[in-house]
Amino acid sequence: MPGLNGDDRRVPDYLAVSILVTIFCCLPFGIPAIVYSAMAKSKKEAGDFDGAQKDAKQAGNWCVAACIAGIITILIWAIASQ
Amino acid sequence: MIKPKHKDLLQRLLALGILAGLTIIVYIYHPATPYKMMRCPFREITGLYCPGCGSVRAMTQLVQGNLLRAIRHNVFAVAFSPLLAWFILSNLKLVITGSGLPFPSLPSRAIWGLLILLLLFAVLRNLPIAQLNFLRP
Repeated sequence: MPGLNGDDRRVPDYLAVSILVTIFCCLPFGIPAIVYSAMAKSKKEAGDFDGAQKDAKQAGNWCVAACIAGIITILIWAIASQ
Repeated sequence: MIKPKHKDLLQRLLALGILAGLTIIVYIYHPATPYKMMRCPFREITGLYCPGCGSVRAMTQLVQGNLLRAIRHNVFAVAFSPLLAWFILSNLKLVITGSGLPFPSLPSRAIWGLLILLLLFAVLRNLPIAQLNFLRP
């Protein structure tokens, strides 16, 4: 079960941020973030913390990409629609 | 490598940037601002509603207390608005104290379920069925 062992908290899975960027920021980059987040969580549950760390890092990267893409799009759109 | 002290500062700056960005977005999109509403490029190019369509409109309604109108724009965004509020609080705390708040985590099955629900929402709100109008922004 998640949350029962102490190791569970060591690897962040970026779930909350992944969901937020998908709904409020940039859907195309948010979906892979959620997928990687789910994979990180699966591996964490299986006890594969190294694998979880790698997937979590990918999830984090997609979150940052989604965030940047969202900001760039909003800026371009704000200028273009003036 | 970045020194821990600098990393801390960078994190705070990033959190400050996110807060400023959110404020600007809500200001730009707010119906009361003398600024033309801009449509999402995804909607403009594909003509489809993505799961995020109407989320900012929903948020601007929600901050005014119009829960029903907010749900009308985007049910999903309203459902996750407490998470967004927690995220904003966490960033505020990060700017002030240097560390954010703990976030809830879900078991992997629940995350996959959530993803399927999100994709289902995306498909359903684009189907040309009148009964599904309540899902559209």
